[in-house]
Amino acid sequence: MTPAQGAAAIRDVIVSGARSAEEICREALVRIEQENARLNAFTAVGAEQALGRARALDALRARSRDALNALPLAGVPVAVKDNLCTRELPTTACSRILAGYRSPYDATVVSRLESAGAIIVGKTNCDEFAMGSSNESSAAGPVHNPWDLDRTPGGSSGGSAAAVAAALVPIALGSDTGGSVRQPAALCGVVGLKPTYGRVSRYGLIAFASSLDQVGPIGRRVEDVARALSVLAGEDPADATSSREAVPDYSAALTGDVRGVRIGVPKHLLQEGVDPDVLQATTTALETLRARGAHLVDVQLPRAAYAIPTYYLIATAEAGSNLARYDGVRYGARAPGTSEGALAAMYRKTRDLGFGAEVKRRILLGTYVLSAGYYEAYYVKAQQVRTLIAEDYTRAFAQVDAIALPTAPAPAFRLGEQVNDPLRMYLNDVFTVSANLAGLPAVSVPCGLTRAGLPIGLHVTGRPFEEETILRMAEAYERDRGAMPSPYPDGA
Amino acid sequence: MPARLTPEALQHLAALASLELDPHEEDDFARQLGDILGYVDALRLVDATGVAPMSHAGLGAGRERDDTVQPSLPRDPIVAAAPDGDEATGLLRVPRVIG
Repeated sequence: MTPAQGAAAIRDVIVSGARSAEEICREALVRIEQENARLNAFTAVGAEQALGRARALDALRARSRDALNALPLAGVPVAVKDNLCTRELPTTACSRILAGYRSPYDATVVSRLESAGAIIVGKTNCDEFAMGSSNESSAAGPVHNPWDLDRTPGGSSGGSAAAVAAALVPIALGSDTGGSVRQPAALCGVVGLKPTYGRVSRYGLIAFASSLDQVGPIGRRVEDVARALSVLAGEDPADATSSREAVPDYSAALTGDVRGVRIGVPKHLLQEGVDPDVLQATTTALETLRARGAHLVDVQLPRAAYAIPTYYLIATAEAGSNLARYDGVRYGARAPGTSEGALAAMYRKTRDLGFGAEVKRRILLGTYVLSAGYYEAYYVKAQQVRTLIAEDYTRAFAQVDAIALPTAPAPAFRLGEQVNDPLRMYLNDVFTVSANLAGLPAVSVPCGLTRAGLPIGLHVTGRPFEEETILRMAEAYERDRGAMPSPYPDGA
Repeated sequence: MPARLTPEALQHLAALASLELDPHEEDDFARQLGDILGYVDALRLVDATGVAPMSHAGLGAGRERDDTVQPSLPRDPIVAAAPDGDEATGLLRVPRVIG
């Protein structure tokens, strides 16, 4: 029994009593210790806390197997991105400015996972404040892609995706502001979901761009992601942007039946800039769904070409505002030797030493677009184009039930390859940012490997709160695709 | 749009953002921000006359809540998490602001 077999299987053996939660937890911790030296996927591991929780679950089973059986993630080891607040483990968003920070509370998603029986084994590496597409802006250093250690796992939830791909845990949480769950999932050959804006509480998620951020699960299989979403979704009084929309049983939606489902394919977005192997694999995946009874329909998203500039103006403006709170007073670290000088100098020095280059770049850009003389031309214009992009999706969803594209235009690139060219890095998000701008749910499901053996993801976007539709499609495809090859020779 | 930001413009932005820039960062940022601003200029091609700006994708959210008193987070761990907190008084020390 390894995390490669998935959360559902792990839970079932624990509930049945065939294996104890403690044994499973120990195995996961051993595997993390063995592999993390190569991958750098975890920034903190809470072995003692995790084993304590596992023993508590084993004790619960001894008292009442029914009580354990009521927990959908009983004994399942889960990893959580380091921008989600945890009381028992450090929370730094992989930034020096939050070095040593300990949150006084747990994020709602963390509490929900634990209430469902999951065992949080550690925090995962990510781009600093979730700003990046390669995990290279992390103060904890880059994560290495398990498929090729010289390549990036994608970002910003690179540690979560790599941890799942390397079978260190069956499920990990990420956050997705412009593709940060889906793009690393695609580059690491695992499943990643960004739920509808408002579907999952963000209380305890360190804010990057509040009109776009959403927490989402990453798993080996669609089944695990659906199971996790059923646990995570739902209204939270602590997050006024969380929705009251009823939460269905997402696992029950995985029927394999996609007959009559209309899948829109915006072919005009695939004319250039897409790796031929990526294009071939996504085309083949869509043909697989057609063979199952889905209809492929050409759709137009005329303003989607403007999604990247729109996104980077809005996201940086919001980031500049959200990150104003890190000033050496309330959280984390203060620049040494600044407590005796002027207050403003302490702020500046702390922020200079605390933030990395990509975060500074985005704060400066966000400050620029919100500053007098540029606000209307950049920020308001971007908000207007955002309306038009959302309208394109509304129009398309009148004709189709889902929209499919590759998740990323190319497979995992080499570490260091794009790090000094931010604009080129931003283009990795070309197919993912629109779902954030329009607030729509979207999933990335692995659809094969390039000739060089690197994973490729198929991206499916749905109507608001129709996660069931896109998960059903992804899982139906998975049935025909069969098991993904493993990055490890032993198939772990 | 300039191909790069002038040093004065960059320093002005840094001051607005409470950032101090290392000299080696200044040159990179001036060029990179110029490149990014040149790229986002593509939005000028979109006619958005009369289009309402979209500030969020709040789909059925953003409701009001009852104004009822709720317990706050405990003070001690919040003070403990600050760089220079005094747990005895619950105060956060900062450099002297007045005289």
